Amino acid sequence: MKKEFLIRSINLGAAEALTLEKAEDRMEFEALVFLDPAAVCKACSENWDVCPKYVACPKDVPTVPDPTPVPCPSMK
Amino acid sequence: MRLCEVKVKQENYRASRYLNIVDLGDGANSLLFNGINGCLDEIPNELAGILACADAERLNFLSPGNLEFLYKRGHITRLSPEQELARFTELARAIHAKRCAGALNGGLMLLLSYNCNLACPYCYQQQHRPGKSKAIMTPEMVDLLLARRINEILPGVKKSGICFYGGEPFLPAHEPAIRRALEHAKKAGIGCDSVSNTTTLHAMLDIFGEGPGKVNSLQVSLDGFRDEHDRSRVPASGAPTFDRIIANMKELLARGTALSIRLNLDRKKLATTPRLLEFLKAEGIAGHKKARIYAVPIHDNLCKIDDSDFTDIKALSKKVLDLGIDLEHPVSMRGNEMQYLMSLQQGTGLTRTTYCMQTLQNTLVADPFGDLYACFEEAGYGQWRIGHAGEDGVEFFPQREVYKNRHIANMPDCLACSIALACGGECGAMCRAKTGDLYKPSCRHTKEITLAGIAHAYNKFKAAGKPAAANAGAVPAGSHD
Repeated sequence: MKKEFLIRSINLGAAEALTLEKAEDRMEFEALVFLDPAAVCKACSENWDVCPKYVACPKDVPTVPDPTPVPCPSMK
Repeated sequence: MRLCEVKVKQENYRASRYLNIVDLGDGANSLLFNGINGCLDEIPNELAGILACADAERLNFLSPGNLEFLYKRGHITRLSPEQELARFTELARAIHAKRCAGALNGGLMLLLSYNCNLACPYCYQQQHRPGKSKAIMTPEMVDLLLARRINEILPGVKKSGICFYGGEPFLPAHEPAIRRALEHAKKAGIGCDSVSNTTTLHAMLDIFGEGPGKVNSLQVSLDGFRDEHDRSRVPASGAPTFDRIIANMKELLARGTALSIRLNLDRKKLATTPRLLEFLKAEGIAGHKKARIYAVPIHDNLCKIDDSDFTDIKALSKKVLDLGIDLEHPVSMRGNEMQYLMSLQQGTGLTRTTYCMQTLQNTLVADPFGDLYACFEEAGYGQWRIGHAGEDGVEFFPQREVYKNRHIANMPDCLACSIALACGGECGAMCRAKTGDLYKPSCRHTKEITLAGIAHAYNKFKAAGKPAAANAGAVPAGSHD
């Protein structure tokens, strides 16, 4: 008897996730890596360009959009 | 045919070494956080238990639909641990290469002198201050750094900022250099930042404010409420500074200067924090839209100092939570940083191949001698200079390349870590001090703090009414044969 659990995706539902199965070497991965400027700006934000111990002063923060609903994976 | 393929795959699945399982603390659900791609999925704790044991046989009790979904998200894999490690190394190199090739923002931190009017016992500059305190940055050195040599000092940096740093940057003796730097900033259309003890700047308030050519923002530190603060953040004479700093903060906010208020805390200072926050609220500082207040533990990366009252970031975060006060602490700050992941719908979610300026070197510290440093805590320690700027040009030293190579693809301990791309390899100065090896991380509670930060961010995301839509990306509950 197989067990089926409810899994709720929070993010990256609209795109196929980058996994280690998808490439073998640096060049292949470089072709797959997409650094969304908006995301990189947040992931490696001002604090991390200087030092995480240096916490930047408050600035206007854009509102967070709702997650994009993604389709259910088809059952086998 | 398809069913057969799925069955064969099932037998080879195992949990990825880069899968993180985060307890959401509600007694029912956990969050899967993939350390390769940033995928986040909420699952029942029973499934979390199966994934946590990393037992391939137990995975085979999962439905084909669950397995396929977990596989596509990278949470389970058919690669061996060794293959995963090898491929993660290649991926980290690929991400780092792309980050380095991208347009970079950066800037110069002008260390105007090593002089400071305070004598804080934990200062990381205290050892070399006596030998370097006579040099003060001149307006001519400012011209050399910001106009004549800037493209050699920061090659490839498209947009350069200026940060005033010291010692204490706003000492009267520094004013000529500051005003010259602000002229350059105005010409370039940029505002400036600063890190200051905020005890002397009332003598030059006109340089602060909004817009180009002004000091737009300032990081200031408090060491607890008045009595505690006035025991440690004081001049050699012991004269108090708390009230002057508060008065100057209010002046700065009135002029539109943003404040990042850092509470340097140890066990004793932490106990005074609730009263301090009440005071800051009453003074119109806490809650001001241009003020951010956060707590950090006092640390000792470079100097041997009395650490008997020190607290670590894990204990500090817990204590702040226990006190029930509205204060950013290391866990909530990590959560704020990771908040972007909640709404990420495309792109490579995790990109931190480096920890700070020390590796990318798109921001450098320049001191009055023209010496260049890649870490502001190391400024003044001659052995860690990465270069020198002078009349004859800019010379870079081998240390520059040593630091440039300090990214996770070159750090074996980090490559084996499930949160490496969310961390970047920890503070190099601290790691070298703690492990004796720049490339060997001293992680302490980093993973715990990061995962707790993600749980904090997710719970905040849900509380804001923005959880994943019902059944979005989900397979229905129940059993399936």
